[in-house]
Amino acid sequence: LSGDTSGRARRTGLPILVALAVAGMLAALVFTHIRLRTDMADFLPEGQTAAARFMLRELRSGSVASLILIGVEGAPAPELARISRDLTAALDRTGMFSFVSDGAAGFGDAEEEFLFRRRYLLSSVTTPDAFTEAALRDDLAKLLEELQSSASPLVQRFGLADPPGAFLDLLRNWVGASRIGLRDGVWFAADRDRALIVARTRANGLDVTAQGDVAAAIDAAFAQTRPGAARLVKTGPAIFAEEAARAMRSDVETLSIVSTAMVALLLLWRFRSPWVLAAIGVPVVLSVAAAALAVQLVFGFVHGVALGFGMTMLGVTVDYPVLLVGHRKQGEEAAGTLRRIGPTLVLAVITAALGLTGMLFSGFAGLAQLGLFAVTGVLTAAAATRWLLPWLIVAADLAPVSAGGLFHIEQLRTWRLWGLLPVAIAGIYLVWIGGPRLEDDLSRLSPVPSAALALDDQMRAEIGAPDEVQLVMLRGDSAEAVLRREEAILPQFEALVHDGAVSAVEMAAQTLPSTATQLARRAALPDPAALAARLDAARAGTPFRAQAFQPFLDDVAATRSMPPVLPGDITNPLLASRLQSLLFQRDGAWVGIIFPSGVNDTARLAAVAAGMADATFVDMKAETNRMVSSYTGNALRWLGYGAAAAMLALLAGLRDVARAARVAASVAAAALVTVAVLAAAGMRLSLIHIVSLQLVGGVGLDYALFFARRQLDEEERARTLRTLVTCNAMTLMTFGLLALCRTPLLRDIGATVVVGVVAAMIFAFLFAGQHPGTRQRA
Amino acid sequence: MLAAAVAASPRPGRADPPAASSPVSLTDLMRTLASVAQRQATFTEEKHLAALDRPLVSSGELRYRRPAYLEKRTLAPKREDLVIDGERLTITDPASGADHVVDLGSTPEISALVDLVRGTLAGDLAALQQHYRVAIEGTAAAWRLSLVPTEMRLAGFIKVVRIDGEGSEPRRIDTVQANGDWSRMTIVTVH
Repeated sequence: LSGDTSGRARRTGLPILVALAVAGMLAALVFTHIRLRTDMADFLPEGQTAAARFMLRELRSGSVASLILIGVEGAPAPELARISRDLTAALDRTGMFSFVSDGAAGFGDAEEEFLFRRRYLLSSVTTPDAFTEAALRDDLAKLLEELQSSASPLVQRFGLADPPGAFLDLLRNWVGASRIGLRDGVWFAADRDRALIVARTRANGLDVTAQGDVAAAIDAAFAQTRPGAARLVKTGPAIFAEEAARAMRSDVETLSIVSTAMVALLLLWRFRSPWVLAAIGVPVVLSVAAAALAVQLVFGFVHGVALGFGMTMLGVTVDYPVLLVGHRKQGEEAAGTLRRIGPTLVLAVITAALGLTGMLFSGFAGLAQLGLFAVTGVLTAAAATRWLLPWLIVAADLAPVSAGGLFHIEQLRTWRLWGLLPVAIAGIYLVWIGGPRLEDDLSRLSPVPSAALALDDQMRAEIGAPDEVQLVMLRGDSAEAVLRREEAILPQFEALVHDGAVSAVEMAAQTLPSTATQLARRAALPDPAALAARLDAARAGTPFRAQAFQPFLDDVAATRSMPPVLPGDITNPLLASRLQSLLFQRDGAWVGIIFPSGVNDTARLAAVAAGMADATFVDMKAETNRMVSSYTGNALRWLGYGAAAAMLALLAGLRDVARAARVAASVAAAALVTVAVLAAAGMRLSLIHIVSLQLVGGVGLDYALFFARRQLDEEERARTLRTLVTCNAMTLMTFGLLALCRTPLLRDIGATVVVGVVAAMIFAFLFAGQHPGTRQRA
Repeated sequence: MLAAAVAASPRPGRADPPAASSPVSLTDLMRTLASVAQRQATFTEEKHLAALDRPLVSSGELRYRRPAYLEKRTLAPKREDLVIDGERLTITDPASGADHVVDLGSTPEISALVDLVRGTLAGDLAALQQHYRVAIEGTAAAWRLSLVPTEMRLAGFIKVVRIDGEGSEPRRIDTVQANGDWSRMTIVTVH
């Protein structure tokens, strides 16, 4: 106290500035050297079953994740069609897409030519019976009727060269049931002026950075089409990721400016010095740098989600420097302050770190990263606060202007039993609803605005894209083996379609028969002379001239010496892309996918697949949901283990069962009330909430431990109360603003932390602090 | 080139256009055509195809309602209803009762012909000119529209379409295909 005046004379914030600059440079060094990965699949646990592993792989690189739907709207249809064509051409030139189509390329001449030439190998119409005189006579009668009808242009084009109708049969299989409407030559939505483009990126759909480039390329290509009034809409998992990242960035940028200003004003008012802000920055910046470095060293990369959530958890570290500065008496030497609050601070840090440690051992790479990040961060911040900061704040002479009075506020503890009422209500409510529900939707982990999800649903329906949520997977040593197997089981699936269990099935063998089947068809074709004789006989009495069917005779003759079509022969991009999602090579094996659509009876579909030894039924939605909820459940369980470890640390540190119980109870009460409030608001508990609860737990421990200190005098108690209120206000200012965000993920964090830290403050004050009566008696 | 196309195409039994007492302009004709809100007519259609040694003849009724509804009901030799409303073309085969809905945009061959008839009846020059080069000869009382496709794909299929008419009534539509096949629809207005 005597050093007051001399302390003021030597007061300098220079060391703080230097420390902050050094910390900032260290952080910059770390962040330019870590490998940041943003792939959601890296954050997910390994699949436990073959179905789950397949699904994960598809999520990483498969057709589901890389599909982008693009719409152009807001101008007259012909103009939209022009823009759509230009945009498609420009996107094709970027080389970023394995497939891009506006429908204009639809089934064009190249595709028709390819299939038409091979129609008698590929179509199931080719049987010996199809080329008999009787069959041909029926075909010709039908042809004549069709020539008379409005469809005659099409009949003239394809019918005369193909009386048995093999090509039209083939076309039906290739084009499929879901057809998008064309207007002005390109795909249009049925019920609105919106031209549609389908694109598949070469880049992994979950690689946020790569997909950001793709999104930017689409925007740039669109701008170059001179769109005028027309607007671009796009959707797909890749676009979600990019849009979410952008929305979050803009949210965070605005809010961090506002919240930093508010916190700065608060600290300025409380401590009358701008240096406090810089003093807080030192441990926080150091902790983030150390945490990222540790994760990089252990895992070889830092996951974007771990970094983002980890920094949320490190919100607790902001309190450490404030606790130190807030408890310093004017002009006091560092040792004095540390003597009073040091043990409590150390215990708070150890307990918080132990609480986070659970995640390290969860076995899930993503959670382990998150745990390591948070633990390292908390310990680093604490170490900086314990060993670096005292020296800095003494140099800058940072301390509250006055300890302030208590104004009998502690009298409130007289009625602290009433505080049990909300806890009891929360507990009963949670028991009544059977515990909080766990989030099982993967999309909630990646922060996609709900408007984007709605647009995605709408455009998927417009373009008739399959949901791809349920499928049957076959494996074989070769493409031929898979195709033969599919041909063998096709009748069982056709029975499902017939019974209405599913409305249609799609498989590679429908469009590309096995070599064996194609050879059998080839053998069924009559020799040219025999066919010509039968055709002449069938033609008798019809107005058809002999030369009308010359192309038919020529093509059948040519087919007899044609080699079977193999998957590799299909190089036409449109045809290949159609086949690629149905038949592909993975890890040396060939995989055939059977896509059912319009599934009415999932159980029967699964039963049919279960009856085949080599088939696996995959329900993508159920599989992801199972995985995500097990993930969430696991995180929750390890949070529990962490809490148990923290409790032991409390007992060891306080060596007082009653006090440890009161500290733990106040934190548990805050967590319970928070979970109950979230559940009552209709939220499902996700990793986001668990991470936020970890922060609440850490902050709550600080509050409770500081209130629970064996109080020295009224002045120190006042200092504690004011400092904790300052900490609380800071947390509310930084995290509370998040509750106002557009991004659901940030809003969830904000809401959880706001409810949590207010509850933690109230319960820590009521339960952890000493009852005024007991102290007076003591 | 148009004249060449017209000259080269078969014109069976076709009388020369009436003497041009006062030549009609394209815009005047279109205005006259557009003034009719509803039409009803019978038709006879003859298709001359290289694949067949005799023409195919069919007949039926036509109904039109401004701006985009056209119904072609074939009664003989086989019933078939073709209805175009907006962008939607429905072909019904009453024998089987099955509706076959065709998206006009996805079948360029059919839609080009449909647009042509409908565009003429509606007097919608802009719609016609989207796919065809349009020329006119004759008078308001007896005129002839000649339409030549401007797009490659369509030109590979249709060479020229000629519509002869009197006043606001189209009387005959001749369609000459690129492969030499041709068809003629004769229209008689029902009053």
